[in-house]
Amino acid sequence: MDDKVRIRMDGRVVEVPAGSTILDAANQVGIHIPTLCHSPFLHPLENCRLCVVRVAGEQKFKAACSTRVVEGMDITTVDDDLRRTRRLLLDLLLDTHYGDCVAPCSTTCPAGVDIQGYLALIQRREYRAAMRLIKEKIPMPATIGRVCPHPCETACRRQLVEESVAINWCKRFLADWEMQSGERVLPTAPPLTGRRVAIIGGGPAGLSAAYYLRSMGHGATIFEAREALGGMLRYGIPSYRLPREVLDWEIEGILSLGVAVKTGVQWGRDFTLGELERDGFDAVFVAIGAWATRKLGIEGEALKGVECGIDFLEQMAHPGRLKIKVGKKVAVIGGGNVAIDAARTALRLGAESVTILYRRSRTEMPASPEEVEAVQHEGVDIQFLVAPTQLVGRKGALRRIEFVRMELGAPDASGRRRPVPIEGSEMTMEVDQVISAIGQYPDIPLHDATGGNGDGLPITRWNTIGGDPASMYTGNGMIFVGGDVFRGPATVVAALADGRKAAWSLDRYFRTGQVLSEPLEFNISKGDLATIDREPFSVLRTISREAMPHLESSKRIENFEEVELGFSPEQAEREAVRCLSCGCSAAFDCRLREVMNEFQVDWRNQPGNKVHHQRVAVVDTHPLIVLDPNKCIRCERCNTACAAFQVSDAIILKEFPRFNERCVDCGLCVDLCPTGALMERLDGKPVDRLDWRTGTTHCVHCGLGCELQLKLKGERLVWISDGANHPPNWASTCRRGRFRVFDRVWLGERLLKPMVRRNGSLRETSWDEAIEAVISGFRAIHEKRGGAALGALASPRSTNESLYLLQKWLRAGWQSHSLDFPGRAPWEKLHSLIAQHVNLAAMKQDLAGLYRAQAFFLCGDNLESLSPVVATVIRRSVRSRNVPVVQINSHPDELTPFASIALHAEPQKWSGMLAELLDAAVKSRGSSESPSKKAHAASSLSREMALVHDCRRGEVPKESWEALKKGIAATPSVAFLLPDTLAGSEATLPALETLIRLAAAKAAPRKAGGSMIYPLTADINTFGALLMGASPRYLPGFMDVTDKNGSKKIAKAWKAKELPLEHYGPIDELLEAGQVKGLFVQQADSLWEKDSRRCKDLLSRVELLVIADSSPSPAMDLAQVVLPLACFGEQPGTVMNQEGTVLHLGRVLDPQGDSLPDWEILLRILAAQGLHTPAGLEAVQKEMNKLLPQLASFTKRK
Amino acid sequence: MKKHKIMIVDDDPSFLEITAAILRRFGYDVTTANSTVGVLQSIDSEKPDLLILDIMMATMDEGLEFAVKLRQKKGLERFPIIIVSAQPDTEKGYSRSVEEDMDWIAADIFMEKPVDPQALNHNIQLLLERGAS
Repeated sequence: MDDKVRIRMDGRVVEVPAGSTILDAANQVGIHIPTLCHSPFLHPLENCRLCVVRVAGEQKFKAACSTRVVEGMDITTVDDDLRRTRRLLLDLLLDTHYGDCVAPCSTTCPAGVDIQGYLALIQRREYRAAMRLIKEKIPMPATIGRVCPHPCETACRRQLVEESVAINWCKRFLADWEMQSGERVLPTAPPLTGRRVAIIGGGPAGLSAAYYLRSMGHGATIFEAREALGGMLRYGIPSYRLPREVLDWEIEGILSLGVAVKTGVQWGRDFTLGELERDGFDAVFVAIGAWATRKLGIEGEALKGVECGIDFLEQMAHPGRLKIKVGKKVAVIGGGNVAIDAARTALRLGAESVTILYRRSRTEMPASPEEVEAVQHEGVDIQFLVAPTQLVGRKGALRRIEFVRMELGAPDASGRRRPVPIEGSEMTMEVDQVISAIGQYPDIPLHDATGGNGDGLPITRWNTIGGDPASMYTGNGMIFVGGDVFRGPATVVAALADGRKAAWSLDRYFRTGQVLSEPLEFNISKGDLATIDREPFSVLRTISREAMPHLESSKRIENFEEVELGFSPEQAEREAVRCLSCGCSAAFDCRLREVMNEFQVDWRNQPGNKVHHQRVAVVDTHPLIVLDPNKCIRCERCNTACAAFQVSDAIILKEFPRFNERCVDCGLCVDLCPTGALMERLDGKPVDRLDWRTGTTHCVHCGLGCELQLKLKGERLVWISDGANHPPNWASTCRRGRFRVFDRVWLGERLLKPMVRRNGSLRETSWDEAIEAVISGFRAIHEKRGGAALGALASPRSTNESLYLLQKWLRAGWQSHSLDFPGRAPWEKLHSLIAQHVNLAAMKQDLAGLYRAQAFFLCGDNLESLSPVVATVIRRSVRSRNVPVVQINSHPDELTPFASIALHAEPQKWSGMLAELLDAAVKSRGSSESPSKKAHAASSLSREMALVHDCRRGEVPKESWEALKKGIAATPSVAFLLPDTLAGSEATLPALETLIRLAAAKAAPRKAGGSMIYPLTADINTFGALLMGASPRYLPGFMDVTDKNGSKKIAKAWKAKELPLEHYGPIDELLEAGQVKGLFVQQADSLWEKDSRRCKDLLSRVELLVIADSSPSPAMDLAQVVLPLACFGEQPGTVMNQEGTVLHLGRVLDPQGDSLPDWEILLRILAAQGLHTPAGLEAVQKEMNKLLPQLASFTKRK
Repeated sequence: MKKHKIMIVDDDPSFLEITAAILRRFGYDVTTANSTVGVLQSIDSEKPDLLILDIMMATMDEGLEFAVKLRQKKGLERFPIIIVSAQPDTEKGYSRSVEEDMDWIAADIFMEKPVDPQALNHNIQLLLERGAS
């Protein structure tokens, strides 16, 4: 075919449309070419140059975004040269990209927990979400929250202000909250994959591997040599630091995922690796820890009274621990946590004196500072810079220890001053127990270490098992390794991280057959504490670190009760607020980071080249958008999109973007920014952009129903972006949809339980009782006054399904047509006018038609505030296609500068003006003017006219008026846009009718791009509410209630009694007249927004008010029954936008509390009342489709 | 002045050859052994002033075990030992610092291969001076 060209791309011959760019062509055939500046909405910018490719025969690389393909082109998209060039370009960009992708606490943490994320969630009291986030990386937070030496806090930048954030105690707070909440935070295990992993060792590494393997659907069996799981956590860490109930609770949670456990079985004694393989395990994870103690290497080690720290501590974990022998005078040798734990334990067991002997000084002591402080507090003497030389005993029992004082010697070749003995400083100390704790190593069974046949595990110099620290693979068979057996005695958090990493690479192996480690994430950093620019921190307000409440030290040494008591919620919150949020909020959708990730480098420190923080503060003033000039890579997407796509001209890019007062907060620049230079602002800070999932739904804040992508983390909405580049909004949104307008329901107070008023006040109750109260209340009124006394006020933001069911309930259940919704009367009017002059099809205009319109005719006020995205489309068409705009309204507005002719007059005059235009159009249709003459006349509407005329100050210049008449008459495809409020006022009704007649006169032939009419409305489902019959005049499908046959047919379908054959009045009139005594109201909170006084007055006239609401509203004071409603994002269902497209709302969040979707509430009511009830959402839709054949003709959009 | 005598124990013949040559050029007497077998007796007989010791020989930790045995002998408690050892590829995950392990390693200084001759000489001198003082 002519419109295709054949090209070679990376050796493949492909056919692509002629005129495509190389980038388009690559996208079409699924070849990835990196780019940072290209956007399908914009003309090629050629700023980042990353999309360079090699074209055979060309000397220089070509930019794929702007080079068009030609027949026979031979393109290479990736080779070493191109990679080098791209890397060089990226390095240049990064030279001025100053920031931190991920906060230093997180990059320092061996497990890489998103610390900034969970601290942010603590600030919002979203503890469950915070816990989920932690458990992505740490399956035992209650344990870690107690025992971790928290390297994160050592890296914390808050130290540049005063002290580090108490990160670990915040984590412990969350874990304790989970334990007390009664509901565990656990992953749901997917279906079994059939793969089974044998885990040798039930310590933290093994438990972690089991947890993550199960969460990925693989089988896990733990083989534990001791009688209980926990490893060092149980047998090495005393209970005053880690209570056994906490450990047991946490292990129980992991096992509840379906982990098999065999205890009392020892590797090497009871089984070998070969046997595990023969037993059908697909892989083995070795995590046996490091339980053997290094020898002191001095004389007397065999004496009675000399023992290892680990053995000493292990006895404590066994029953009968109080019989453990402890000396009167105890010396502990070593400076790690085992030494400290042994000393504190000896003290608690009744030792008279305990001394710790440590070879180096306090600064080198590996034990955490808190532990050192605590042990000294409890009365243990620590001798620094001493080394034991001999243990002396009598009759085989220890009597004293000889040691020598050390000093730091002259520097060795590495510059370190190592301790050396001081000659003649030998001393002795009387002791009856020496506990050695100078280091541990793994006890590996010889058989598997040497492999029997010589092909053994890789054993290192330190007697650990070697392997790859990223994938945890030993390189041998299907054997993976982690924890202390791999690292040597190290931290619990590192062991947990190893378990998770092993699970990840095992999962990857099972799925791909290849051992791969997790890909590296690229990070930039402003530098560590020593190198970072300290100035910006000096201006921050100091907030002191919260202190951990402790058990009194006099009480401590008498028992093994937990010493640290934990934070209160207030303390945790105060502490979380101290977080400086160092990491970039855009880290998870940063395109720059993504392309750097392709190069698999994980780190790059930043040059000092940056915009000064005071200068940043001067420009970072937008109320909704955070501007960080230091992250701008000058791709020009933001300002180009603002000018060409949004057409606001609100961004000036000079060195970096800056906003002017024209910004309408559409959020497009934030979505297009490839880095974190433009981010959403929430409460003065960048939004906590956690690593999210996406849920798609439609906005309900005007009649358009823009597609929105809700970015979610757990139960939390993190941020919103606009949808993809397709209808109805074509990748545009406005402030309402994009920025936090929904926060009121998501973050504000919610109604969570049904409530019924008893003895004057609302009491929480069950759904059954609340529904019973609704039905019996309505029944009582029905018996006394009949169906006409019962009514419902629907919401034009409800789903079609609920609106349909609501009217069905009222009609079939109570024989009442007292149905109404705000905005119903004008839309009914609008609908009947359109039906009268055109046909219903004219209402169903796809907004995409706006892109084809050859002229816009705007009649009425406030179009932009009613539908900002439609206004954007108009402006864009003007700018990109030079489409003329005619405006007739009462005063200049934001669209006036885009108009060819803007006529401002009193609404009463519009009708006359329109009539003249109609007249001209009708005449023109009858005339036999040549097409060229018509085209000429149409061009008379050109933008160059730029006539803004205030008709109150005089007549429109005759020439212009004639040009307008001719132009409208001659332009074949005019889009008529009007606010639905035109139908709501007597003053504008004549204008509306004339306008519709004008549109009708120009409507045919529609297929040839005839004119269209677009009524704009403030509520998403006004059209749907009307179609569903939420009206006193119409049954579903615009069927008049007086239509005898129609009414009969519907009643029959509902298996209901015959319906009244009379029109009812509007509900406000009925309420005012006191005729309606029982009323059901959907979304009363939005009624209040419109006219609170009248609303209160009308609603106080009923005897029984039932409201279904998401959040508390003043109507609650009047209501007898309050039903909690799921809010936007929590309920599925359909709505119909102003163009007549059926939009599916997504349920992307779980309804909070006991709240239910609007249609579900009505289904329950119908069922409880014994009426004909469809079974669920789909059945409702099926019933609707059957009764409303028109529905089939409407476009549907997921 | 009497030349100091240094003994090198390593199972890698080329390391022995090269290091011995270098140390001789620095002015030391050098003896070598390719395993720890019989080294205790050699120390008794040859009375070196300092030992340079490899770790991985016949077993993964032969050198470490040997150093402990040596230091436990009467009169050799403070015998200067420099461990010179190579990190195998599989050991990347080992996360203890050598400083921490020096709490139990029976040697004065630990050096990773490959060693810089000047650094090795510096450390030898340091230990010899310490012994002399």
